[in-house]
Amino acid sequence: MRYFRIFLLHFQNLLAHRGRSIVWLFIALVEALIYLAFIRGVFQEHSSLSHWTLPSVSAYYFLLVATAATLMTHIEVKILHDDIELGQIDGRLLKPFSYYWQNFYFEIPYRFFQGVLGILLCVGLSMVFGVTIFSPLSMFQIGLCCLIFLLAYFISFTFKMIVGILSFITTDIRGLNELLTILIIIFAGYILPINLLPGILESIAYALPFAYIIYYPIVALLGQLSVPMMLQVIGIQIAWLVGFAFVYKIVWRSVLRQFASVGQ
Amino acid sequence: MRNIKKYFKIYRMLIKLNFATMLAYRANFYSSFGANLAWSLFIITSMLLLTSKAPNVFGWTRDELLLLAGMYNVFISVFFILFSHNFNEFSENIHYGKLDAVLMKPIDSQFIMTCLLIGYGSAIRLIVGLLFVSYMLSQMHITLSFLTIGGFIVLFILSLIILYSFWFFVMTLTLWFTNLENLVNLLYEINHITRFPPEMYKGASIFLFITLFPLTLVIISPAKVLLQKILLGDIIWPIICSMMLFVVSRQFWKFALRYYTSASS
Repeated sequence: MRYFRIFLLHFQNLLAHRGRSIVWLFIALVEALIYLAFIRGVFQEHSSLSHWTLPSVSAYYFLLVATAATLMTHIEVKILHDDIELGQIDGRLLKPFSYYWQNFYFEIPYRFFQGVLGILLCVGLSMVFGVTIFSPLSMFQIGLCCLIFLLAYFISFTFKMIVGILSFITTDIRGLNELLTILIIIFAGYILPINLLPGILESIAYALPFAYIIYYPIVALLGQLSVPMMLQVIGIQIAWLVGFAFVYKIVWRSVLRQFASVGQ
Repeated sequence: MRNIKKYFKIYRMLIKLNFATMLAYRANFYSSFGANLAWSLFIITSMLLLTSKAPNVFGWTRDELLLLAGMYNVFISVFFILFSHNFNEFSENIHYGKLDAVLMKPIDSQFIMTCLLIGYGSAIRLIVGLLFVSYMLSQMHITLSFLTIGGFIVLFILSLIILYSFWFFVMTLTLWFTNLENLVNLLYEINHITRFPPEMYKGASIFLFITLFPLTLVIISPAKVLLQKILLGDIIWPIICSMMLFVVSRQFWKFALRYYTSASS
């Protein structure tokens, strides 16, 4: 119950500044639509590419808007700005809640709000452009899709928490963050669906965790994954999540040992 | 004329002050330098990826599209060096009432709000962009005459005015919506529109196309000079759009200032 109250408090704060969330959603929308507009030109030359057609790739980019808004967390920005630069970390560490879950309940209202708006936008776009975004899935497949989304969220959140808490030591992670943003844009499937990436980059994308945050949830929704493939994706997602949880624990212990703060 | 001299003198001083700041906060400079290098490489890589399956897109060859990507790096780096850091601080200056002090100074408020900070970290992007453009021009066997370079510089400056005015117009909205500090992030994203051929927006709605039209000129017009494909419209439209947008954005700023109520006591 106490966690639910924390969630509601953050949700209240979010609603007071809802304009910002709407702008973030527009940013995701502009990015996806620019790439889609360009890809339309590529599909003028080819009727299909690696099983993608113009309608299916359009559905991919529309779903990308909603998926990125829901699953791509930005908690590292909050940790760097509020906790480290503005010095709010002392108060947070003294609270009788785990730092991980405090941030989880801070972030989840933003993902929820932007996710809902993203879905509405995605449905609106699909109606305007006459594109089918959801394939008929069985109840079992819908259940597996939900699990893929849930795991994708936790992978994204835990990974960004690791990046965020590194700022306890370095006090500035902007350079690292910019580099990670670029890697995520390329290997999560923002520019192109992963299987349209050329040669070695496609193999690298499958070996990194980013595709399991954005690309696989979208293709699962599009009905491009069979049940065995979905189960395989879930297995790999669990492996990444366990790995990140382990790394988080080690990094957290290490940064706490080295962390020094001057009182205010 | 005296006024222009005064502003040149102030700007010369600002260049020196910003350089001193850069030397004082070196870690920040290195971080910005690294990020700019990464983004400049990303712009080229993303175009390579997007064109990996098709040698021609919207009538543009792969080499021409890569030249556009290089041109984008050159153009945007100059814009970032001169203006973007100021726009990053724009909404904060309004939200925290720092605009009060700006309005009290005997200098034009638009000048202080948009020209005070200089981002030297973006210089690396300019270098990468220039090297890549030179490489692409040699690959495409294009030689440049003095006339081409002169035309390129003129259109480049007009494009800077277009983008500056567009950003200034949008950021002026933060006088009413002071909480929207991420509006500048949306502008960074919208910048990417300029690095693609304008033909790809022709299928969009007429409203969207008219809104985007000035932005689609920004890189394309100077790039067409280099490609020696320039048409009369590619010269006239940037002149009209830059002048119109500059006047409109300045008038809008003056109009918006009437509604500024200050955040301080």
